[in-house]
Amino acid sequence: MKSALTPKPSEELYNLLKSTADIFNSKSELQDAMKGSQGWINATIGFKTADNKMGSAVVIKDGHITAKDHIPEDVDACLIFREEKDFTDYQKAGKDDASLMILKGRMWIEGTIALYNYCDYLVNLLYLDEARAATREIIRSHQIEKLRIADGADTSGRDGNVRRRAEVLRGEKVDPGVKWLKDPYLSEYTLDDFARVKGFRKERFDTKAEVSAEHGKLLTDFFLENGYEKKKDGKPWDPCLRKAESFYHLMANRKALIREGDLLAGTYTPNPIFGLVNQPYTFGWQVWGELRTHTFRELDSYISTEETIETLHKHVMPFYARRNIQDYWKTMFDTPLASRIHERYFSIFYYGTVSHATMTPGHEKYLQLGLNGMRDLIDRELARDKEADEEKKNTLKAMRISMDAVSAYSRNLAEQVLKEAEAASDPVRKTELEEIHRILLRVPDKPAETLHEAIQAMWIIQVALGLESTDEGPHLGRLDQLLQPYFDSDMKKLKTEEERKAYVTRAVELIGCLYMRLSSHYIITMEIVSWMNSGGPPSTVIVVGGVTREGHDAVNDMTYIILKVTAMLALNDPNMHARVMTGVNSETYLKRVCEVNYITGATPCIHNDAAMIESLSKVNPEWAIEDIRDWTANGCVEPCIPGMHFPTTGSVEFNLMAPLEMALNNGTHPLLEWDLGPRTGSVEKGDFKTFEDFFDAFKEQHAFLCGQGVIGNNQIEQVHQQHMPSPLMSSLVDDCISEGRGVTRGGARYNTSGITSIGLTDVTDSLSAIKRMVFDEKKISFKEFKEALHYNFEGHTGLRAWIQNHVPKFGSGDPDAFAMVDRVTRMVADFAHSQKTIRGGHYTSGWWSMNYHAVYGRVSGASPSGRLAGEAFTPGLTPQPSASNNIMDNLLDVAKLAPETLDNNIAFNIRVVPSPKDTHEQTIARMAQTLQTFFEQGGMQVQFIMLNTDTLKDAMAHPEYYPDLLVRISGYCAYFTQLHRDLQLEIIRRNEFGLG
Amino acid sequence: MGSDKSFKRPLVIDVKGNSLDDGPGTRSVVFFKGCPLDCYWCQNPESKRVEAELLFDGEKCVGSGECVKACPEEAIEPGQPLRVNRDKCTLCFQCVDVCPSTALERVGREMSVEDIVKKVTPYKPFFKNTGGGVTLSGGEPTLFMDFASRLLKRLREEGIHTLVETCGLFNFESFTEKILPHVNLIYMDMKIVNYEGHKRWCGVGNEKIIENFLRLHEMWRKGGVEIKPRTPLIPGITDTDDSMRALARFYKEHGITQTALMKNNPTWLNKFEKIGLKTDIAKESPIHEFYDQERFEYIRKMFEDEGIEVLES
Repeated sequence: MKSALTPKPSEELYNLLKSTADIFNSKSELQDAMKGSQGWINATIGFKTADNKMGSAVVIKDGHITAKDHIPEDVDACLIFREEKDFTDYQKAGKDDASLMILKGRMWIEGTIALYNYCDYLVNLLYLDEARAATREIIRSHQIEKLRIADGADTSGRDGNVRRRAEVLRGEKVDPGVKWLKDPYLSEYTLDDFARVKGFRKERFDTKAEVSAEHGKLLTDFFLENGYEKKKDGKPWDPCLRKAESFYHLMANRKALIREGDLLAGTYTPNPIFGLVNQPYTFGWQVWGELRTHTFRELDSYISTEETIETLHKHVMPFYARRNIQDYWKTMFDTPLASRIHERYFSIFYYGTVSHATMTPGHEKYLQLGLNGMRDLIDRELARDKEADEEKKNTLKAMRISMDAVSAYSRNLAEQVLKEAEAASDPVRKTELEEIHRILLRVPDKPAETLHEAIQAMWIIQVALGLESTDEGPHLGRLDQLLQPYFDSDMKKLKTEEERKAYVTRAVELIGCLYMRLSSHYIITMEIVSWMNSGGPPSTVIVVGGVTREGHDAVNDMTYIILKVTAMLALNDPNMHARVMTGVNSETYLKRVCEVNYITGATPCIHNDAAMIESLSKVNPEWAIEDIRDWTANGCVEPCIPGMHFPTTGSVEFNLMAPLEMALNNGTHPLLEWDLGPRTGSVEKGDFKTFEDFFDAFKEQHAFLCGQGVIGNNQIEQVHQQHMPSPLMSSLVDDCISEGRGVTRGGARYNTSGITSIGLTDVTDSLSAIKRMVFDEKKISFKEFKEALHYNFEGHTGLRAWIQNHVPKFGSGDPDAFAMVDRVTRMVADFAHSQKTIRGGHYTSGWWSMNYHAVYGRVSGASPSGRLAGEAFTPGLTPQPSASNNIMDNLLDVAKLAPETLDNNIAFNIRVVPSPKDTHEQTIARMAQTLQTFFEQGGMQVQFIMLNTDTLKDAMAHPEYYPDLLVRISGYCAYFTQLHRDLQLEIIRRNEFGLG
Repeated sequence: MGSDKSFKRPLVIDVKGNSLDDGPGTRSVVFFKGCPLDCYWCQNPESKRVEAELLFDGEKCVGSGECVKACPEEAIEPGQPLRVNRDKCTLCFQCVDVCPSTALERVGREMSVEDIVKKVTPYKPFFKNTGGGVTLSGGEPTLFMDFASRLLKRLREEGIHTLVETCGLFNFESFTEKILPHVNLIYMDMKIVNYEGHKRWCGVGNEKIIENFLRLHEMWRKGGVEIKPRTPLIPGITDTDDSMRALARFYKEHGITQTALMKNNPTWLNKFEKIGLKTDIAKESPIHEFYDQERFEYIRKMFEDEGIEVLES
């Protein structure tokens, strides 16, 4: 009786699609949603199970939707369920569950994903109210859970930040590069002395990010007019000229604004306080489905006007549906295996699908020559090189046009500022605007002569570089080195003590304004990426300290001014990094870096200069040592030589646990039940007689999977050459002009591509457990062990407890545990270094995780290390929290790692809590001593979070008290209260070390 | 060298890699088992007896049942949590060998001088940069004077700063001969000045302790090893007005100008249960509370009025 009334899933599916289609066809306002600026938006979307037992489709054509009980040949995209049961689950699933289903491989999308998102957008129109209510309910249930976790937590952290910022040390003028600051710590200043910047900060925190359609609209307009695949005249575009001319249109026609009250003109978007650049060829197309729902989602929600939504939906998205990097990758290479791996989220994220711009250009070029000087340089090169081929001519011409684009924008800014100056009633502001106007008439076309000019030029170029490629990547580099000459020359012109003091105040204020400009954007992300990267800002890295090209102490006045602003503002972006060369940089500097870390709780990330220089030298013996000494951190932490290196540092974001799971399952990935890898032996059949047999299997799976990483990225880089060349960026990178090739075409002097491997500690502790339990001590058979993993240790609590308490872990000081880590890091690094990029050069090996350690942990089963299914890995290469209670054991083990295996840097994230008995001065001294020792032992880098467990728990439950509580995730900083729960819990789980 | 039978090896409870409270800088602390005193408030009751003991932490137990199977005396009663019958237990420690979660632990293991030195030498770079080193504590390190002497000597050979925490009840000549040459700093407890009070609460009289303290203090004044007195503030017992006044007067009389006062920390109290001991410290006793800061300031003033500097901890 019941079975006759309950439809089978395939019927249910068809009926669901049909009823949805009927609603659309009957309502004119819904029909209107299918109409774009270039005509009806058409798509055929399929829904099926992987075994094809179930399959239906909707055909969206010319404003009409037809449901089909089969999937047509010309289907654009398919939502695929693993089994019929998954379809049933999906219907009942809340937002959270749906994302989890994707992460766990219960469903996925194939084909032109943007068009699936279009369909999603349409369907969402029907259920907006329900979705809003459901989200409210999710938020409420999460809040209950968080209150439970935080029950009993001490709440004294609520005023902690205020207390910390009130206690500051005084510095001494000891560094040779410090010419002017008597107290380099600038202890007499607080944020209250900078009303303008303080006001900006408050307003930024009180403002929700606003989606902007400006970037996409202007590009779409241009290409509709001028053609994308072919030019108006039918001839093919040169990729660089296509980019440059569209970029010119964008820059010349975008809104030229100065934020009210600002000292720097220019904005990322028409919302000068907090905007989202929606770049439709990278991240932008991914949010098509969510254009109306990301305004009320739990994490990273935005403001979006009706006009913006309509522009994106009707005008921009349809144009870029097939013209985005990810889609080109599939069409150019016939949906390669690598692209399928990418879209299943379980093991590799190919960052090239969204950005290649994580690098530092040579800022000194336009600062010293001005764009005019650089244009002359290009003209001279073209005149000199009679043999220049077509590509070189086009590349250089494109560079010129891109610079013209920047000049046009600057002129528009100057015009706007003049208008505001003329209208200004406040005489102080009027004078300010007149000065800014004067500056805009100079830079960036002419060389900068003052600090204000230099900063204004850098800010305009920063915006331009982001808009040219991806607004997530270009970095400011060694800002203290770049700006010191201007600060110094400005100070020299002043005569009195008073004037100089006032100028120092002005310099701090200018850097403060720059910081607030830099923090006025976020990247637009779709929900599932928000899970992977929640709270993640577009990272703009600023590096201070270290050594000069000649190896001398590089610390100067600007170093301390920048550190002061960092301490006062405690922002998650710009992403601050300090290079420390022990024995060269002073104790004064080291202590200040520690103090700033303590005051902000989470920044800067602190690098051991000697270790990184050693690493880069060993891996790249042919690179000039002076260039290496100039290295900057990029993205999260990765090294790049500014102005001459194209490093695509985050290209392959690799789940190291995946090959281990595949080795345990003879090449099948257990979660996805995908026979992906080579057959390397069966545990059940007893194929592994020794541990070495198993390690070989792991190694082979790794080579296969990481090999796909390389193959895929090399394919994506070819897509970049066609569709995301970067003439402006290339003009700032040697040797692109003389080679006549942009960065994507290998014009840079140094070329590498970056891999980062996630889950190292969980993997190596797992290997240690297998070796000891199965092969050395024979406590359990491999088959039984695997079964215990399969059941997530249920019924095997004794086994799990034994492993956790008796198998030594990395970070405990145990030599066997270290030997395993050493072996794996060398294996991975050797593999990476043996792989070639398409631009010459090799792949690099990194160990930072953004927040993939939470995401990849979610999609991994129970590990032999005792980790339960779905639990986050440790961040970067941080040891397990239970490895040791003694921070020294952690530090010493990490310091022992061979630097040549870490040439794409690491993330070593620990939580330290100062002793309540120590004074501020004692705490800083202790931090500095610990850091000094760690670096002397060879440790490459460390990122401290200086917050105790109670404060984090309280913040989780009561975010209203902690809106700007800053934490380090694994390379980037985020506001704790904006993070996904998984990530918050992972941070709370981090071992709380006493400082000592 | 070699195995001379007259050389007594103490049992070591723990070598704690990183301690913030036991001396200057970053320090590793060696906890010896055994103490001649029997203080009512002892934070480490498992360190009082010289012999090895069995510690059971119910919260760590995962219910594997291996211990029940392994015990030859049937002294472990299954249950959730399981219970150790201390009367039947012969301390053979076979249960410890099979316990997966370390809920059952042996307190006190033999370690040679070299074992200990090997454990702490990796931390030398941290000791050097922070002005830290190794502290001998426990229990009472001077109960095993020869061992302690050899250990301290080896540590000094490694260039490591050494500190001895002692209750002060030892043979003075032995201490001078064996400990003083190899130690950089001495912490001595001055718990209760009054003889009767000390006997009541610590199990023995204090005349030897006071004598040792004064003699060492005198030696310090003449250029010897620095010695710092420390007093634990136990509410209602050692921190009474009478007790504190007596102590301050004692210091003033003998020209001692600095003392450490250590506030009561209640977080150790469930250790009694874990080693199968009973305690008559009532649940309502202020020993269960963190020390009252106002009272501390009152006591501090008492000492400062007598010209004695107070180090708070």
